[in-house]
Amino acid sequence: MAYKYCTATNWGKNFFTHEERRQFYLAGHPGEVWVVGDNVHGDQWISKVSGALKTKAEAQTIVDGEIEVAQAAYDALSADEQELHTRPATYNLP
Amino acid sequence: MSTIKLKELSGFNVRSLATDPVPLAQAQAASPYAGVWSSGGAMNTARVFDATAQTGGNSAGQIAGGTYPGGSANTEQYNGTAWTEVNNLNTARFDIFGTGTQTSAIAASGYTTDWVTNTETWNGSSWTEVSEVNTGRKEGGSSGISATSALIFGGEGTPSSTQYALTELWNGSSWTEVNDLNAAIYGTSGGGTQTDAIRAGGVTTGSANPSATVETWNGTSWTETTDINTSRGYNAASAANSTAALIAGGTTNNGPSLSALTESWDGSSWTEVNDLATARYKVNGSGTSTEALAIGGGPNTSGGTATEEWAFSGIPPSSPITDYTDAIVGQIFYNSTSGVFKATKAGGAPIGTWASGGTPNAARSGRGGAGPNTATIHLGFNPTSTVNNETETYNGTAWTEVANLNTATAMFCPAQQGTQTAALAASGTTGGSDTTNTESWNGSSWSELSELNSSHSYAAGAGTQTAAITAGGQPPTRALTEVWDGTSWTEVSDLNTGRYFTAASGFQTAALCFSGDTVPNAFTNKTESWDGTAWTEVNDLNTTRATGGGFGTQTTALMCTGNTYPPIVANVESWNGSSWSEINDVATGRIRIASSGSSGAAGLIGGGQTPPIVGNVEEFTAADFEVTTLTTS
Repeated sequence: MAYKYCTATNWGKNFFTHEERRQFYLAGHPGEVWVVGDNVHGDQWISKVSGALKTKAEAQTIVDGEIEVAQAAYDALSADEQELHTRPATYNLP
Repeated sequence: MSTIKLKELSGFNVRSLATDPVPLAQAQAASPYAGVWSSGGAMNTARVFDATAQTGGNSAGQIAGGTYPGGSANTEQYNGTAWTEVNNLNTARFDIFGTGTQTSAIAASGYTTDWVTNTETWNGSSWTEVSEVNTGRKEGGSSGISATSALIFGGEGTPSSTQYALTELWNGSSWTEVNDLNAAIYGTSGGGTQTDAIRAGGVTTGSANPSATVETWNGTSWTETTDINTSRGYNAASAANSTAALIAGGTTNNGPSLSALTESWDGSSWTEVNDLATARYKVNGSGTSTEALAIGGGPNTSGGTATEEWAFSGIPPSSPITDYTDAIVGQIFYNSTSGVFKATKAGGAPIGTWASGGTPNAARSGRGGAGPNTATIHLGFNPTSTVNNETETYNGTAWTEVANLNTATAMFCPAQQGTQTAALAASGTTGGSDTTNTESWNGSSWSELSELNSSHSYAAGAGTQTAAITAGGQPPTRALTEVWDGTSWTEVSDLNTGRYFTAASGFQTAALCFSGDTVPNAFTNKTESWDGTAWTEVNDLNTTRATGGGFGTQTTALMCTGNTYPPIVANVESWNGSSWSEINDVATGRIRIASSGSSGAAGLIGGGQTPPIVGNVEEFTAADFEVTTLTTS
């Protein structure tokens, strides 16, 4: 499956609808990064939400940055507090 | 050109439909069943509190007297479209007690330039003076069905501003004092019969404070019952009996501060429903909780002529699916409009999808949740070592901050089947330590109740505000289970596998517990089913995880998102009573979410960490069935 990448701020109700979820792949990631199925419906949604298109590498950098911030926050926790959390891990966007 | 007769070819008929069947849930969403006020015909004379014939639904009203100041003798009847003047009262007055029908009514007491005790009965064409009430007063409530059966209660009398709790009963020939209201009140309204009535709202003397009090009459005595949500006086009331009523309008302070708020009574609780189009006070009510009139009243003591009609429209919740949709799962039909063959496929969770919901006022993690999609409550907060006592409610579109928990806590809601007006929060962490607190939500505030026997922080729960269950918790891992009977918690049989950061669904006597952390960072996919006595292991989740969320019942539930140590996954699984299957993902995978939903076919998740804390809400809905076009490929 081909994807497009963008950043967009989720404004809440009707940011994405049930109908849109049926029409194309959509996955949100840290840093307001959205992975969008590359079809006409996905393109229409990016336009609707005024999404800022990114390359996959650019999107990955944004996600990694957010996770690194979270990792630093986890590392700063006490041992007891760390027991209640899992250290965030970086991952690859599809 | 030859035609193929399918019946001859296959041996069965194929239905031909002009339009596709519509799933009931979809149709109900497009046309929800709800009461709403619409404009009716205007009266010929502006009025305040009058003698109102209380039966006749929303198409057969009658009103007499009521012009301020000085009073009026005018009587008018409503036919569902227009008001027509009929014969006058013998004594002009206003703020009269009245009830009955268009053919048999009574008007009692009231005020001219002083309080009067006159009573008149209506026979369908004229008013006749009959025996007077024992105590002259105005601005009280009344109930009854005819000129020979009525009850009047409360009101204000002489000396000025004296409020009464008096109740008088009319037997067709004389008035008799019977048991008083529990407290004196005026500016109140009521409805029902002489033996089964209700009174709601009103004002009390002195500061003329609006009241939220409600009382019901059983033919002998008045009993205080659940208050209305918004205190008010000089409101309209429409009721057939003490278990089904509607109140509307009134004043919410001594300003007056005009209200358009409408509340519906089902015999146990008041629910806010659609507002009047025009806020007003000293408004008259007639009819029932399903077909009513709001008549007259206005922004000041001169009253008004406006009438509004209350009626229900939309698709009733009780509509049988087959009756409404005429769709049979598995059946093929021909759509004569589009000219294609189609099939009706099974629906439910497997075809459900997630859409973005309204954004809460603040991004939060580690909250508890309860209620259906359109009436949800989320509470608490715990991103790391910080806790918060905020509570927000959701109406399907927007979130509203309401009263805080008493204790700032990341608490869960064992009453996941609770409601926006009856929720329960228990245990959790206060940041530095775990708590055994229990708090109950009544729709406007939290109150502390009996504590748990053990902490169940980071556990999950199920049930309602008065019958809940919680299982697991901490670390270190706990298998403890406790049940709540509305008053206290009792320890019962443990889980087979102790866990925390778990998810649950169902009720106190039929619950499901799934996923979780068994020891630090040893996540589980185990599912256990509770029958009211013991936990039994059933089929596992497909994806091992913890810190996700769940909702639904013991037989239809969803496991949503969570952590697989790591990564965070967006996976959602649906439980059909015997096994889990993967369905459509949420858009944004996350951990420490609030989840709520009454069934495995409708619910929502909100907040959490991606890992940054987010406020995003996603709503899950699944249609009853799906229509697909048949293709040759």
